[in-house]
Amino acid sequence: MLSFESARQTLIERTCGHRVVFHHVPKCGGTSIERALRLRYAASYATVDLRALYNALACADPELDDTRLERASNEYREAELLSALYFDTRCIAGHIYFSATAHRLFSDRYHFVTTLRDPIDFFVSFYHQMVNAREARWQVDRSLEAFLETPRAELIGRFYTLYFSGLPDGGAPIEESVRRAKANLLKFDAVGFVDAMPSFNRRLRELLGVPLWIGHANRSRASGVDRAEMSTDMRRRVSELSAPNIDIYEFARRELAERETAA
Amino acid sequence: MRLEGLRKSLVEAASGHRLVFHHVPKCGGTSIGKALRRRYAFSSARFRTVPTFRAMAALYPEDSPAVRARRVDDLWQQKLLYYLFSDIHCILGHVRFSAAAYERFSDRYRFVTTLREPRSLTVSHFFFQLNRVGDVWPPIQRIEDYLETDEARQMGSIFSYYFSGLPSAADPAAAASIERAKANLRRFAVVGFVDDMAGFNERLRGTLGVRLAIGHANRSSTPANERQSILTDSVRRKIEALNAANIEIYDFARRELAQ
Repeated sequence: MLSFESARQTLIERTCGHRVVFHHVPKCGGTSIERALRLRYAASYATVDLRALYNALACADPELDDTRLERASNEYREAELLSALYFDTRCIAGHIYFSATAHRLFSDRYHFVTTLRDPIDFFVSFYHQMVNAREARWQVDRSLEAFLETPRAELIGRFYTLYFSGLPDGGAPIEESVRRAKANLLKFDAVGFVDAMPSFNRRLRELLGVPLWIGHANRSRASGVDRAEMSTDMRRRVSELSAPNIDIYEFARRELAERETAA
Repeated sequence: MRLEGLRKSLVEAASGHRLVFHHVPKCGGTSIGKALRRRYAFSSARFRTVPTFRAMAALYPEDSPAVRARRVDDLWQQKLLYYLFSDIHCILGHVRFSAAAYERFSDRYRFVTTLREPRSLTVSHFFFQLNRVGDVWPPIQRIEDYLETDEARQMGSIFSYYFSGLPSAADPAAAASIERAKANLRRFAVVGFVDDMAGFNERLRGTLGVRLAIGHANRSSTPANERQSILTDSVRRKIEALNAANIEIYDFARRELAQ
């Protein structure tokens, strides 16, 4: 008789594609990709629910300030990523930062993929998400103009360094974090761009070797300020804040587009 | 959203009462875990030992084995809360009692565990470690050598370590740790005993509203006479001494929590 475990393995082999880690940067078109991956890799899939995680960490230690909470959250996510890799989970997708250790140990067996978005659009979209956030922890209740002067706005402006530098936020001068993020992005098997999703989707299907039904989830709702309505001053300020993201994004567009063309 | 609502209704209908099963190693938990996972097939989560130890070895290669074990335990206490906040119906595994988890979730979850006679637990763990994953835990062949290890010492206070609710670095053999473990065990909905699994199952049915088909997994491959033959008088005395904390807690539980 077929044991439960061997039946599970057979199901995994028949339904899942190539092993993959999808680093889902928020507001970069990743929700549709996560859904498609979850459906395709249902037999062997892992993710991290940030709402549950932050609630768990704050409950475990109510004294944690924001900085320590962030650090604890990142350590947890990296440990979970490595555990899932060692468990041979076929698809790990979610808001997980790039881990040099995970890539070094598993890049021969797994494809590492991600998506990026134009940093100004990213910033505005992120702001709207926080305005509409259900969790008090992530809520913003001020105008975009007022928000631009807060530390959180600075954080969004360097968000791509958090995801790709492999360094803790504030653990190195920003120039070094940007440099590392660029170097790490070159290690990815595919980097998609929100304004060119069809080509990324094609690339992903090729890499994974299975059909994927990628829809368009999380389409932004009509909201307060959109990019076109920003004043020149606000737009300048968003650009200043987003300098690290812009540097990384332009590098990725230039270098990775060339690589794809060459391939 | 409708699909999610449907899924939740299905989980509610198919599962028993929500529970956390604290599986102390070598206390019959593997069989119980299998039965629970079958019964709560739509919503259960566990803690994977070998992948997590390998992950921690990769991330913190400089750790000693004892520090690594504590790091895993600390991660899993966070993970327990993560599962609770994710509304998983059945959470089971080698996870220590967390006062924060109990205080936040005891109105929705039943907390359940099993204990084993401590001397028997030590012998069982010695034979178990001979066949463990070698790259993570190298086996120790002679019981005399095993009883000198940090792990054997730790196992001698495992009940206190699991149930005191204190930080993982606290001394589990200290009187304060033992007293806290006893107090916390009183908060459990069911404390079962390996030599009375039928009674445990009956009480579980009363508290969860479901009956489990508990088998006997992880049965030792070593014949009973061979297991007995290694227990010289000096080995018995050493086991007794190592298990002082476990014995105190176990005797308390048998006396006060068996019904």
